[in-house]
Amino acid sequence: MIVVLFLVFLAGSGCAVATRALAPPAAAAAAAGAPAGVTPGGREMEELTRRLDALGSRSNDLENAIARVGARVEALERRLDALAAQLAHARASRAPSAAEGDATAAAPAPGEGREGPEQRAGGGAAPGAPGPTARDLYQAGMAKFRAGEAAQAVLIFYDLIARYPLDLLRESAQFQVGEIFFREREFREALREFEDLLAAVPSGARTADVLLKIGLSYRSLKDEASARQAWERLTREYPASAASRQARVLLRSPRPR
Amino acid sequence: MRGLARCGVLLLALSGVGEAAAPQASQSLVLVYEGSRLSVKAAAPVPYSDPARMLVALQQASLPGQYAMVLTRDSPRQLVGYVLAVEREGTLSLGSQLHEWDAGDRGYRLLQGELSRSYPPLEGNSPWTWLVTITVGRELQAALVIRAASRRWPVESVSISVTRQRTH
Repeated sequence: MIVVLFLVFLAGSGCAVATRALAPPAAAAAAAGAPAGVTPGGREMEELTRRLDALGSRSNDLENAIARVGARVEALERRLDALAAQLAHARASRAPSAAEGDATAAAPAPGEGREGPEQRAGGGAAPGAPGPTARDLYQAGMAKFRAGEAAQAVLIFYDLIARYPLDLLRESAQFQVGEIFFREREFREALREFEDLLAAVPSGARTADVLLKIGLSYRSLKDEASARQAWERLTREYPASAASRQARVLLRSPRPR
Repeated sequence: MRGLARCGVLLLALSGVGEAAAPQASQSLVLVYEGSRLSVKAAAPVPYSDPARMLVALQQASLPGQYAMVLTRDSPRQLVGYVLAVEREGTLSLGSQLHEWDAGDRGYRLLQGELSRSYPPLEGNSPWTWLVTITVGRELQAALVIRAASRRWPVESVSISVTRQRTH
């Protein structure tokens, strides 16, 4: 029992390899794929080894999830700081004369009752946007996507992007559009969407994934130099992300012919 | 002034609200007029070099991956996707697909695909450049400058910028 607890502890620490080395010969043999059941406790050890492998795998998944959450928190903090600074700037510069300015300027139109661009889930609407919320549209788009109606999903996501360009869901919507094109092997279109998203949301929750996909799109288009550039940027700017791990593997992998 | 305010014309750069970032590729733009929004891709595909072929494709199925611009309207709830074709002598054809929202299906249904207009290239510009107008609302037309990415034909992609919005 003590041995079992010790093995579980090791697996929880992500030491699956070490566990195999310390396991009794029968378990090691089972782990290596050798015939089991030689000793009376053989089956039990085989089962234990299988569970340890599963635990090790789960531990890796959890590490990846933690990295993703960490990167997302970091991105959100940066965005929050930028928003706070912009709000302060907008309040400071909102002089009476500004109200008579050009309505076509890159700022909310006067009379819209908005102090500045908002970026939040369910908000961030372009002026005069009644009807469906960003969440409604996102859910409708995902429903179409899951139903295999990719073109329909893209149309709905485009609707979301136009109506709610500053909403948090916009990033996920445009990422999905890029994903759809990528899955359909329309790599140029995928690349356009991912690059456009990167330009629009340079420090978003999914920026690391976007950079990974940009690299994959370039590689699919046989532009290895641009692919490596994207992955190098990813590993430099988001070193702790799961996408960065994939990028490091891709950077080591040979160029496809 | 009040009229201008009511128009609610807004040129929104789809940016990360002022976050500091390394130089980026140009971004898509959204031009908003009351219940209409014109989304313009800064870099757009030119999937056709023959308007007739484009027309056939436009009438068959939605082609969202080929849209250079997307116009959405609230009432009636519609979505128009614009597709480009450039012929050998430089004529730019603008095709469109009109979709209507189907509340029952919770999706857009293709109503029609058609050739909207053709534009000759501006003189003296190389690579080709076109000035294209799109009606966003009753009182607003967006003027778009579309530039071919290279001098080669067939043209594969263009860059698009919004130069002005005209109110009547």
